[in-house]
Amino acid sequence: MDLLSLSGIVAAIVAPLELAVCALALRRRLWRPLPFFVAYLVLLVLIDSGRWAVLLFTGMNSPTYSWAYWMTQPVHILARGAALADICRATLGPYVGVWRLARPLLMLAATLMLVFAAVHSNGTHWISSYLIFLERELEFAVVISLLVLLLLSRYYGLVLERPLDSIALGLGFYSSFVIIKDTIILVVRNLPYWWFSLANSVAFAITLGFWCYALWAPLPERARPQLSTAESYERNSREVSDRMRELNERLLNLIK
Amino acid sequence: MPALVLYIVAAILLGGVIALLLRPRHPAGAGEPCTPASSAEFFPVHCRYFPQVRHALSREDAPYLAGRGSPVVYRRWRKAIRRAGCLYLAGLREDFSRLNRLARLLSLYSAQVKVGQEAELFRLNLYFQLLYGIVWWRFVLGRPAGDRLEQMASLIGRLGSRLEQATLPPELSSGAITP
Repeated sequence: MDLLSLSGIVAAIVAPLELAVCALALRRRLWRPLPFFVAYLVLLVLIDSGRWAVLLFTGMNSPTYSWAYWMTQPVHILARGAALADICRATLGPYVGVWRLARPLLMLAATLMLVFAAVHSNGTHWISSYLIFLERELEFAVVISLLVLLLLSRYYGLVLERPLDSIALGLGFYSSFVIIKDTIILVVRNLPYWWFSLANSVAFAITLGFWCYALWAPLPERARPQLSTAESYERNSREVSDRMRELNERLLNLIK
Repeated sequence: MPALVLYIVAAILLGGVIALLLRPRHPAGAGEPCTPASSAEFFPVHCRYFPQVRHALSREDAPYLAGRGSPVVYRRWRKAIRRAGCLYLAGLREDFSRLNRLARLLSLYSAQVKVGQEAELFRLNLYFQLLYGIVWWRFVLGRPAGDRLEQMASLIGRLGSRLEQATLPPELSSGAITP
């Protein structure tokens, strides 16, 4: 079997996997905690169905398919970004105070990466190259935002529960893979595109596997945490920080 | 080509860090950051053993041993003392990190969090880690620090009882800080 046929087989496996994950998400009523993620999964099925239709009618090397692919790709990435925002809200949202603090941080991280993408891709003229460039930078924004979310969660001692953990892992894995793939495409131009297409399909199948695993069993019910008042926070945290400061002064005295 | 390597290494590192951060830290079902059953983890433990440690680190022992014991025994004793001091210092750091964790929980369970206050806690934590490293080295190099350790130990103990008296979030039961 040649690699081109293998590429077709893997792509044929990905399509039912996408449908299965989408069906599982709907069955688990995932639209309540993660509406954008479910919208992304539905969009994924619709866009890929459209791409398959164009592919069957016009062929893989046709300009129509290439145009359809690249014009829908930014929609994919933006939907993935929205799904990530969903994960951030579902993780930190119940903790109102921390969420208010984290939201601008996450937005800042994403905005910085998007500005960097806009500035960095400014000199690229070739349209498909420009889109690959943009895709890579947008995936960077996704990965950095995910990293900020995980660092904040770790700092406050929060653990991402199922299905958030596997969904986040899938997003992180796929975005990291796309960054590597796009970088190779941009630098090594003489490799056949379907090699990348095959690798991309395999990586996306693995991602769908993560999501399938996340949604396989019924989702655990999440109780909303009972929050304390602002006055209580003010008093207690000031108390703790005063003691910590005092402890630091004692340590400093040890050095003198 | 350097850009290729840079991007690939960055992507692998970022992916790896994400996977590491997503690695489960607690047994299954530990989704909540703190439950009443686990609140005992905030006990400042090590600072309570200061009398025993003070006895072990007593400066009066040094001239006594130097005068009566052989140089080999004296060196061995000094080495053991340093090691005990370092271990105790590490214990105090553990107490500090428990309090630090409590501070984060206070923020987590608050409906309103102040950026300045959080930044201050973060800065204090970093400062403590830095100071701890410096003090540890001084201990290793054999500088006496028993009196300072006493101050640190009593400070952590006082902090525990003060925090217990303060109003804690409903998730933390009374008696969580000091037994």
